Amino acid sequence: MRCLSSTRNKLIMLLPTLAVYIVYIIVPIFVAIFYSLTKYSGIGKPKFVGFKNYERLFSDPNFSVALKNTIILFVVAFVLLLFCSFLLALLLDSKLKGSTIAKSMIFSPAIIAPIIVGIIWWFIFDPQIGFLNSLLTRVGNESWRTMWIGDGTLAPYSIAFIYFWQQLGFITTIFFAGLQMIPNELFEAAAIDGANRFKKVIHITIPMLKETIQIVVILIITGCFKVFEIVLQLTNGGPNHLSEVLVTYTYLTTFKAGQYGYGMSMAVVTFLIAIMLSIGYILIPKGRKTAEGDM
Amino acid sequence: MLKKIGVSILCITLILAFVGCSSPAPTSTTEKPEATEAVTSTETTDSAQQEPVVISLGMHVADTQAQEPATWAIIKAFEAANPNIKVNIIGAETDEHVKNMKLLSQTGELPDIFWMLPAPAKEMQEAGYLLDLTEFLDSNPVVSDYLPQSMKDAANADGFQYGLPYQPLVTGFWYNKALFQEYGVAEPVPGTTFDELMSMVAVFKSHNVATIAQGAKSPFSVWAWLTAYCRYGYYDRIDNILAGSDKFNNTDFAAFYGKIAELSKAGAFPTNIATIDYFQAKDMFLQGQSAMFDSGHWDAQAISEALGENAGFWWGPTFTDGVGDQKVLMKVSAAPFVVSAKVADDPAKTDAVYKFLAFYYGEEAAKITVENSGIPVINFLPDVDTSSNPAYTALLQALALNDWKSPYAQPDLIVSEAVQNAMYDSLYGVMVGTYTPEQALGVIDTAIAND
Repeated sequence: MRCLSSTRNKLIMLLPTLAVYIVYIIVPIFVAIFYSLTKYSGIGKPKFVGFKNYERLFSDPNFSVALKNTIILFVVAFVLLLFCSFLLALLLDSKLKGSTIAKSMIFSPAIIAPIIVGIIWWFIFDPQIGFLNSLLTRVGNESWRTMWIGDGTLAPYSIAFIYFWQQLGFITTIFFAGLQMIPNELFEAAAIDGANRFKKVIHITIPMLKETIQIVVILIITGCFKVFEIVLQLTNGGPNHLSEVLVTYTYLTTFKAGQYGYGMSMAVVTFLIAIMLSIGYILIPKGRKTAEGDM
Repeated sequence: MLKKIGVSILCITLILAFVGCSSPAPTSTTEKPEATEAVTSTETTDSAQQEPVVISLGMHVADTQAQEPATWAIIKAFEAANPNIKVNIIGAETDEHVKNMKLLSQTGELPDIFWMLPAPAKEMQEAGYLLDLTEFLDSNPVVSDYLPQSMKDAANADGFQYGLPYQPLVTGFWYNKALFQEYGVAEPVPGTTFDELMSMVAVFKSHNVATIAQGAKSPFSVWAWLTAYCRYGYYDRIDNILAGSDKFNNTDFAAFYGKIAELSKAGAFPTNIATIDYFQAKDMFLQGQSAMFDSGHWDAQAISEALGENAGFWWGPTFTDGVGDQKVLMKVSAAPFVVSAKVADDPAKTDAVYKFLAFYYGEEAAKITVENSGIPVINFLPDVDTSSNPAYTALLQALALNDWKSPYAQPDLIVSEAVQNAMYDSLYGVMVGTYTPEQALGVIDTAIAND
């Protein structure tokens, strides 16, 4: 198959996928940027207003709340997902009895449609009829009953927990696949040198999983900034936008309030934040490596 | 040589597969369409009368048969009476439907007839996407006479009849007579005051019964409170407010919102009002867990089935400090049916659309509407026995108040979508306790300033 290995032929083979990627991923970004500079209701022609939409973002309290909630969601989900899924993958790798069944059960939330996830957890978190508050009453901890959703205090954390629950299996699977790629000889050699399990994880497993961790972090970053159906079904961003995240507030502004231009300015800001976090995460370790190399 | 042929065949196959998956680009409608020429139903050709014609109808509900049974029945009756015309219904939940119609307006693929919110319908008319129905009304004088002038005016812009009312909007509080009797509370009647309502709340609250079922996850479900706006002089101020010389945050509206805040503090609303939607609030009422339910005529059938003779209907409390007319009921034009301007390009389609509209606004459709617990849009009340539908009977009795008047439109339907959403947000904000009355009214003023 040497005929397929030349650069020209590789480019030709890539062309269809590249075309689809450009048309459906890249071009819409520029279209969104264009509309973010306009006042547009979705009907007729857009009216150019420059950066007015971006100026409005700074004084919009609902946008600030949505941004704050997205950051809370990101931080909580990031910490929980990264550590819990790694530990779970280590546990599954230790080949305990029932680990095969456990793998299926852990992965199962990932295949439930997000809108159904929202409905399920509404029945758990609703302060009046939800399972959690009912359970707390039954076990005698009525003082622990609280507004898990329904106000702006705990709602972002509840949403973060639900997102963590949904994604745990998927991220664990990625870590588990990464663990399978680590050569066993390294652990055997470390055992001979007297390394205990903890030292093996710190000095062998984690360094060998560097690329996997990088992929997982990018997935978590992009996933957190795309949370939509869970919020929509659980709280619809309410009450009064107190549980909005960036995507839901963008959707509300664009399609329900008919302010396409302003909505697109939010979409552009969301995109920039996500891309800065992702690129920053990739570039900072490289910069550190270069600095260490120079030393 | 062989390898070049192989690569070329592979590339051609990929490209053909990619092209084969695409569909022909729709006709662009970036230019305003030419003014429609007068087309009457008599101009169809013989062949058009014989060939089946399909007209598309865009509805604002996902399942027309279940959610709009009257409209469904009318469509089926029309098809039975016109075997050569088929109505293809395209339905989606309201927000999704409005979004779809806006997108389709850009690609020139609007359905022939579709439901649309008043504000974007007017924008579509200004952009040239809609057919002027003046000619239809002129050629169907019976229909024109049957339609209330106020409802025609609601979708008329400087003589351009861009829509006709889909149905009347009759909204208020349904109430459960059984709960009032059980707890010894006098039923609300036309003229029951806000203070009397507060007394009801106190009794129901003491028995852990929500007085008024509301669901904040469905922000639009504040119909009865929009009527209450009128009792605080909404229509005397709204023009100045939208022009910028007045504000929503004024003493009268603040007094109104203060009343809602009092109800909230007294426990009139469900404790989980922030986490339930309109359908869950409806279930709460139908299961006897709340004394009243903020809704409208469309729920009459379901309420009759659940509550039977215990169903009652009330226009909401009057206010001693309300500066507007207190004898206000709400029977206005809902969002209009509009017709795509492209229909005029096809005489057979125009004929079919005109026939559908003539049927929809005719006596037979009015009879079907009443049989399905709807309120006819035309000034014609057929003689239909409604005794098997107690909720509907209660609604008709409430509408029979001669000295109570309806405004020309529901307050949220004369403002833009952004201001509309802000109004819903503000009302629920006070009910849930997120906003003070002044903060809530400020939300609407901010939306107007940014509009």
